[in-house]
Amino acid sequence: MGAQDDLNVSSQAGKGADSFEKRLADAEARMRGKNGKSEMSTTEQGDKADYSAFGLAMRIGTEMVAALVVGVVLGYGLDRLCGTKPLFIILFSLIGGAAGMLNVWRAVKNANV
Amino acid sequence: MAAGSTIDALGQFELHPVLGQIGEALRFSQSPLFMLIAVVVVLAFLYLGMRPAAVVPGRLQAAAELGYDFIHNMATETIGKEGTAFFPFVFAIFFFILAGNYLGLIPYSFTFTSHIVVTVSLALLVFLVSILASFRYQGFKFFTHFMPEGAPVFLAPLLIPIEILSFLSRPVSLSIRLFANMMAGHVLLEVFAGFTLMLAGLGAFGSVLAVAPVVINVALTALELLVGVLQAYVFAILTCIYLREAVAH
Repeated sequence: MGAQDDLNVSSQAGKGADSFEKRLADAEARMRGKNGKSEMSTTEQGDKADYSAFGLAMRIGTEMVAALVVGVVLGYGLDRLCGTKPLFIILFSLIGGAAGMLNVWRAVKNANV
Repeated sequence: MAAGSTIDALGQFELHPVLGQIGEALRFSQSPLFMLIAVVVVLAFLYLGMRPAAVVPGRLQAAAELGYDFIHNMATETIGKEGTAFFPFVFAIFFFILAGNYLGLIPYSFTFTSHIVVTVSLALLVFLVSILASFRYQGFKFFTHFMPEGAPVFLAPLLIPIEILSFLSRPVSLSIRLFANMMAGHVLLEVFAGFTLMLAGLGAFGSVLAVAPVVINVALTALELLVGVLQAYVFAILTCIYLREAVAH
């Protein structure tokens, strides 16, 4: 009987996606009631725990260098293009360094270490 | 590769045609060969693992299910509800890189993840998918992310270039991290193996000393096993994080 219901619902192509979302939400609500924990708290825990400390350490160095490299390459390219030799490379290496710091800050911000 | 008194640590990364005449004609080198092997290994692992489909899984089936669950949890917990849509993509990326890293540790094999061409291609694929997903889920609201909310307007000329550079640095950091880690590991292994040969060439006393680099190489191989899975994990989790930002709001 349950399988029959499923078939009927999925064959109604027009509202198939909607009803699936609705059934999923209903099922999740039922599960929440059973386990006595909310969905929000699990996703937040997932956010915090999604790095092992070692994985994070591997990340940080390259995050910082990569933005600087992109900045220098962009600056060099713009200089070659516009013929303004030292202007853009200076500007973009500074911005690249700042972007690298931003990357590191964002990587560390959510980590629980 | 390390003969006599020189150590040719980078020779292992050279590409040569394989499979004789056919490989010569097709310019088919070790790199695509080992990619094919990696794909076959992953598919065989999943197919053979799940073929019994037992309620109480055997070892191989348990491993396949663990791999599936691990990535599925990673995708759904990091990306959110839309994670199921991207799960096959993340799964493929993780196991392709993992298989590549581990295949490279087998003697006489080749590590295709130690070539920056390969890692850049993978990183650009992730980058493009995340951009396309951004447009799909957010439309042109995507561009508002380059201006942090609540920042004073007069700082915009400074903040927007920084945000754009930070965004553009994603594929660079993804690709450099994987490539550099794999290449550095294999260079180290080669260098210490070279030390062993050089010491062994010094006579009886040298042969005794030559044990030390072998011991280090054993330890390095263990480290490489860790780095191999960790790099695949970092690549996959960053893919998830970029996709989460793409589908969010």
